[in-house]
Amino acid sequence: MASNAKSVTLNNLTKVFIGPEKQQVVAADNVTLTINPGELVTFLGPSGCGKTTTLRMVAGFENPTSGRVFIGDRDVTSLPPNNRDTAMVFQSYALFPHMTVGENVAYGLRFRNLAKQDKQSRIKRIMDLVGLTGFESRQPGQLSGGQQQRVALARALVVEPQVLLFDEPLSNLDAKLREQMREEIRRIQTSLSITAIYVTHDQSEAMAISDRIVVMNQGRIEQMGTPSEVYSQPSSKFVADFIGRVNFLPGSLVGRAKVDDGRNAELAARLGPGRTLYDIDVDGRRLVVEGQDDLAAAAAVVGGRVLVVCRPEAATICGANEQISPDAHASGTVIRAMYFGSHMEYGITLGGGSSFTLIDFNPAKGEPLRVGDTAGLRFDEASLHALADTPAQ
Amino acid sequence: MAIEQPRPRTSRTRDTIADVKALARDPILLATLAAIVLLLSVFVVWPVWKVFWLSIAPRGVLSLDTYRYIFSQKWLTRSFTNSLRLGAISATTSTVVGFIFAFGLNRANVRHPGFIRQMALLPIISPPFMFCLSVILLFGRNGLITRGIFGRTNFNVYGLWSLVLVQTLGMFPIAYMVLDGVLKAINADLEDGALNLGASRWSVFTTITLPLSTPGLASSWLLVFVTSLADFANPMVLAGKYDVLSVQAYLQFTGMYNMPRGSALAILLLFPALTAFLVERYWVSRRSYVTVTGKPSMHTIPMVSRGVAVFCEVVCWITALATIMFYSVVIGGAFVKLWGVNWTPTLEHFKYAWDVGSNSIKSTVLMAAGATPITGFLAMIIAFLVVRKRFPGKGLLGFVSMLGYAVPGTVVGIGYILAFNRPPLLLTGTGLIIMLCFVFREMPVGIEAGVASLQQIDPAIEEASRNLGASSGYTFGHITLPLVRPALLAGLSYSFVRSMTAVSAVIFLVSARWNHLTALTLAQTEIMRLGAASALSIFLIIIVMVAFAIMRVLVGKEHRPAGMLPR
Repeated sequence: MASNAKSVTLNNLTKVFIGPEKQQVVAADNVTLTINPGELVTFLGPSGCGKTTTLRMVAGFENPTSGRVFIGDRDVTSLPPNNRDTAMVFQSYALFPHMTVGENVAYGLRFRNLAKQDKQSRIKRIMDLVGLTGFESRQPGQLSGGQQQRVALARALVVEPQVLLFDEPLSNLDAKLREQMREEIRRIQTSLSITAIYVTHDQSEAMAISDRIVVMNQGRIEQMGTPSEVYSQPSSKFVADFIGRVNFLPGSLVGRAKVDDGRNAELAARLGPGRTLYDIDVDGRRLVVEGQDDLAAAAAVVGGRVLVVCRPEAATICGANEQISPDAHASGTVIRAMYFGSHMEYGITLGGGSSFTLIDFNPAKGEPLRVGDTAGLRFDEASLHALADTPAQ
Repeated sequence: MAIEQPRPRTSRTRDTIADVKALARDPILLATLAAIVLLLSVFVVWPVWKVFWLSIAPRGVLSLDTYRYIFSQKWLTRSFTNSLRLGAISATTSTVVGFIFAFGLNRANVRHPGFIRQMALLPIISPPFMFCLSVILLFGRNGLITRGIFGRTNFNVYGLWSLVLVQTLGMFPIAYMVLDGVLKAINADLEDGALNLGASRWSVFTTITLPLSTPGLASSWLLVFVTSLADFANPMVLAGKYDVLSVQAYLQFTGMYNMPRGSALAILLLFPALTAFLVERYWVSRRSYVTVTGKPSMHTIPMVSRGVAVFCEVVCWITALATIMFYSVVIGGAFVKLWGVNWTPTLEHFKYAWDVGSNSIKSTVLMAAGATPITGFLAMIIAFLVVRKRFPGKGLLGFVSMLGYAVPGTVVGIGYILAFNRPPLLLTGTGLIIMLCFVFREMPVGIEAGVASLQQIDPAIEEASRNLGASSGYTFGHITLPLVRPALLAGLSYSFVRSMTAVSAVIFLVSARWNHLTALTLAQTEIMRLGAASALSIFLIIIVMVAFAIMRVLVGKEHRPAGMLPR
């Protein structure tokens, strides 16, 4: 299938709704971004963050209050949905209940000038691709949820749209099927190299399938980046908290770290170029942590307070009770110990009183800790990330 | 001099402006809206305005003389209070009976529920004054019971209590349908939960079931009240000396040719009807606690004691048997020479009825059948606009199109006479005026059906069609209409029946050329040709039954609602 992929550009896209009590609701607030041809970008955020509204403005179901939408070089802001050449997979599938599976899939081709054989060969190829060959004459109601999902996908793919839109397509499936379908969606999208926007509130789904993730909150873009960027270098406390699990270690900024000494140079080399290292004091211990370029400036405003983002797997246990290693960055009392097979999860109350979640992989080796034990913790400095501790908005 | 600052545009006006812009981009929508607004203005608002205007300006200049006269005459004010009293009593009795039916079927497990439900719905499609005929045949001067059993010939059947009887039998289905929906929607878990917490069944009823039904009871009361106020056929035949507004307005307008007084009486009728309707629609129905969860809930244990169950059963069966008896005597009345006097079986009533009525039957069916598809089409478009589109004045459009519910037929009939009696809209005496009257009176039923079924359809289904390249018109024709077809056809069959059985507005509009079956039946009843009236009623019943049978074939098999998840 020839790639029809186009870029999508959103320019200062804003949508203001009038709520039921006549109050203004800003569903999308100055959203500006560019999606490259063939890329799959996820809009991720809690419910009400504006991700679906933004998607619907791309499809043409909502008129933006201001701002513009481009598909390729074409300004589509004022085009009705049927002239935009996008195809959407809906959360509810939105299959036409009075048509067969075959009629559903063929529906979009009614509005495209194609020879009959072309239409049929396209339908056949797509039905093959989604594994529904032989189901053409069934009614949608006779299919399982997963099969209905495939019909919805096939119906969108068959028109070879310039942009494929997904509105929480997997939220009505059970957990196992969800994982299977998301792999399939990703496989098909990459094999056709189609530009796609995927809306979800499930961060693991977003991590699994995206080229890039747009994290949204209260109508604004909090961060846009690859899955690993948003996970390991979150740009705000919100992003750090929303993606994965996280511990925040409060600390104070000492200053930029010198990278000429051996250990810091090694750390800088591990992180790669373009990253700034800072000296940060956490409960009296000095840590060298990578952070935003403007951290020093941002932190200065609030008196040098910073938060060190530490993922549960970025700390290891170094000795317990009497045998705590002198290398330990912190120590605390175990208040929770849970066995998950692949890993142990501990809840630890640190000396300063804050609680810390730690994940210890490979629990088979050695004795697990028990509730009441005192544990020593060592942070993997290369995995930490520093944020300015601005008051929550 | 102060210079007025330009006021900042509020977001509300900005929103309206955005709506207007969106309208301008969609010329089909704009043209449709304009056409609908024009039609509603001419055929709903204007006639009512004409009635109001004539009542306050009898000679073309403002004057309250008409009202002053009405309120100074006891015999006229009495018809006002009589109407209200009749409405209040019938609303109460109908709501009680309707609640017992709904409760019996949903909570007390009465036996033969299918039959009982049929009996509760049968009166809706019954011809008007059918029950009046029955009452006269049973309790009248030659009544089967009064004379036949008790040998009394001086029993006065005419008056308030006969009216209450026929109205209750005829209108309790309204209450039943409202309350059936309410009781079905109360989640069984709530009542089971209260039992589980230690409440007795009686406490469950008084603390859970009844409070949750209260808005429904109020709705049902108000709806029956409006229907009873607007009722013309029953009081016309059975009221005797108990004057009511609808009849008095008719007599003043057509009998006395006092058009201003007839109009003023109609307006006096409109006032309480509209008030009750507005209270129901904008106050009571918003107080409903009932939410549809989409989860079916089932009671596995009976929620009532044996005594209550027996009571429900007895009330249901008495009502059902009364309905059957009333039907039977009318059928019987059509086949005997002279009811109560000469019981010789005969078909002469049918022959006579056919001789005088065949033209009316043809024109009635023609007008009703012609109006029904127009009604359905208009109703569907309005329902679609109201549910799916955004445009300024949407609330008002919805309100005006639903007015047909609230405005009594008497007001509509007088309004049509006053509004359409000169060019370019010289329609009086034509069949067209009756058809238009049907269309705009029955439209609310179609709109309700359309709105209800559209709300069941996930808007994403229409969006999917648009998204795949279909225009809004194509989507409406190929996706929306097929999906609402079953509900639409059901609504249409009901509106056809209502057109076939209409009296109160039609009575003003019929002419020798375009007569209506009900007007003819009324005339036969008034001259006490009860056999002929019974035969005409049977013709009407047969036509209605055939219409339902045809509709059932047309609706066909229903589609399974796939891809329609609850939102």
